[in-house]
Amino acid sequence: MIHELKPTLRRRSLLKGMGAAALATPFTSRLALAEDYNLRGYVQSTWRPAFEELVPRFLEANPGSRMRLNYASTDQLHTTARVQLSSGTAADVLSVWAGSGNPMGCQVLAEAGYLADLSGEPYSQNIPDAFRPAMSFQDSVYYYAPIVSMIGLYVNNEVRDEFGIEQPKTWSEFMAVCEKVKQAGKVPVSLGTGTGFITQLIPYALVATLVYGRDPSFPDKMQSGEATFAGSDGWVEAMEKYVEMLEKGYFNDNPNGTAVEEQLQMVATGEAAMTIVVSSQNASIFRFAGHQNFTVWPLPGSDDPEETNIPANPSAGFGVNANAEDVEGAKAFLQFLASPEIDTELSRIQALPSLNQVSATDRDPIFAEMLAKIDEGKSVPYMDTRWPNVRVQQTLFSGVQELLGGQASVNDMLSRMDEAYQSS
Amino acid sequence: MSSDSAAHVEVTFAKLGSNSKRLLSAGVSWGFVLPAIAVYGFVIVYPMIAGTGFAFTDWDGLSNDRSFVGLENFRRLASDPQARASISTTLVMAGSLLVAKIVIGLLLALALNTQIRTRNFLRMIFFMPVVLTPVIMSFVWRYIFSSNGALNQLLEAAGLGNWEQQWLGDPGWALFCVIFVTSWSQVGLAMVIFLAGLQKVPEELIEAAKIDGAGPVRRLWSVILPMLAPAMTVNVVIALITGLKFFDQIYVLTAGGPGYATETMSTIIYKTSFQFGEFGYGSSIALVFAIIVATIVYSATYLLKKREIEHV
Repeated sequence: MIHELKPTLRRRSLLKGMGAAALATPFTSRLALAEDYNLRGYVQSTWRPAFEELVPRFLEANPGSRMRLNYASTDQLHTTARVQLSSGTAADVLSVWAGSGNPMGCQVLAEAGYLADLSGEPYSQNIPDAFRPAMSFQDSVYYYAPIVSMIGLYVNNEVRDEFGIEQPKTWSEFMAVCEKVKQAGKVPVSLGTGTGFITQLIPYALVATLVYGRDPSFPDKMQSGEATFAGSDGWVEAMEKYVEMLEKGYFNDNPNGTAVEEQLQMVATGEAAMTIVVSSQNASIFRFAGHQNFTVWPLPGSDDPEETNIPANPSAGFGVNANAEDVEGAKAFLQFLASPEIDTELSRIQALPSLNQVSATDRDPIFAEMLAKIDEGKSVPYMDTRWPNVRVQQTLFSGVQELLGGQASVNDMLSRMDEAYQSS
Repeated sequence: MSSDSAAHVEVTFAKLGSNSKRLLSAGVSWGFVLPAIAVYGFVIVYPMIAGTGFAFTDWDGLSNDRSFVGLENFRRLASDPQARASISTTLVMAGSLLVAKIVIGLLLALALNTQIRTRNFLRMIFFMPVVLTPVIMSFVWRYIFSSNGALNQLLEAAGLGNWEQQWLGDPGWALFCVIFVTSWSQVGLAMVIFLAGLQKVPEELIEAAKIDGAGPVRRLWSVILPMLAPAMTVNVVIALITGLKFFDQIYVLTAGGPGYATETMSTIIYKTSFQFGEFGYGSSIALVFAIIVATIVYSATYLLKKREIEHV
């Protein structure tokens, strides 16, 4: 969907007014700072509400500039943006993801030479250390991520109060909560593995503690061939715990036939007490619920509460096409988005914590427990950011569906992930 | 053009020799055809040739570097269990769609070729799925088949709660649901083609068969079906081509899942090329797919055409 934004003050009227404006010092100084950009953006449709509110402000600050925005779903964007990049027709500003496990991952695009180096930009100096590697390629930063993305245990506060649920600090406590809710006749955890990306969230949340928290060098060991998924006790344990939840009836019926929208609706309406989901789904949960009365807790992976780590990543953000017609304009646009005032606005509109303000004190209480984990250094990047290709993640999606459907064993699916990992 | 100048052109044309006339006429024909050929070449032929070339490379669809890898992609395809499974799923889907379209489409056409008063309304109803946007229609069906969807609710309300299924979550049912939705969306087209064929069947031929004592089944088998041979050929060819290349309905309903249960060659080609960034390997699957489709469709057309010649 294409959406063209123009400034209220057109270039012609601006030029006409320049003679008169030259007499007014404050106005001329503003003109001297403002630039005349002609930009094209191709971004994920989830950013549309924020861009519709904020882009006109960028254009106001840069009279005479134009910005033509094209919004697309993630799938569509992954397909078409790559074709546009390779054929030299890509937009100036593009949606870009962290790491290398995504078709539009910053490392995939930077390695092919399609992204401009943003290391010198002011916002690149403020990136928290935990997130910098996923946004970099060969020590240079290649995209701007406005917000932080986390995977946690969402609890509907009304249900929490009704059942007296307290934050589970260990896996056993979590299972006890699930049992309590189940006995009361409610779905403990809603799950919609009919939608591909949902399949990975529980494994990611568990291996953050069981694998990557215990051994931060695990991705390096995978890379050197010292470690494998099937040979990792933590990965095996995580998948066994996933199956255990299914076998104990802690999910809704038929998770493979349930889509993400149903999963979110179940927890939003209180039909389910909890769900394990990525924070980018916040807006949908709040919209379905009609309120923001939720809490997000870290999902414990083991019985040692000190061990609990959470998966946290820079969100999808924006990169600059290295071959863009207006690279400087695109960089100026990202600088505008990253300015403290606009960054806060973005965070408000997306209902997520800003990446640059992870350590801020006026935090959204919904995420307090999650952000505390990041402060403590107990967060690990999403696993796919260090995988060598996209096939591994897609194999995980299909593998989980087969695992939950009883068509594959834990060993089958992890071995297939190893094959996919080694296929690069 | 005035009548004088038109007459002048006619006189001038008449004065030309037969060779010149042929050349002029051929030039005019080519003038009409060339733009279409240019567009066809640019949109179809060139990508096909380029795609065939990519099938022998390791191109990732993004970088400028690509290396010739010979038959490596085809060797990989031969040992790729998911790709091979997708070939059999594709054939099952295409075969099921073919049977559903021909049988149901023919029955509907026969039923609506009678004099019932609501025939035009019913024809419109049965044809409607054909004109609906496949993606939107598939989203609606996805909700119908979901765990708390209309179908399970209906079964529960009818006291048939034990018939409720994981329609899209169970591998067997998911394939059935995809076949059902694709058939539902295509049967109307078969019906219309058969209807057009039925309206060409001479009434006197059927009357003659009746006088000779042929019952309804005998008339259908020995008179109507042979006369429907051209419509049958068109329907079979369309059903095979659409059945083999279905993508949007599958992608919306199941995205190839659960697991790999509804993965077809089209979805595998899309995922391999665009999601996994293995454009060379994706192109090799597409090339094999194109050869399979061409072989099946050509064979079917050849056999059915022979049948037409025998009976028409």
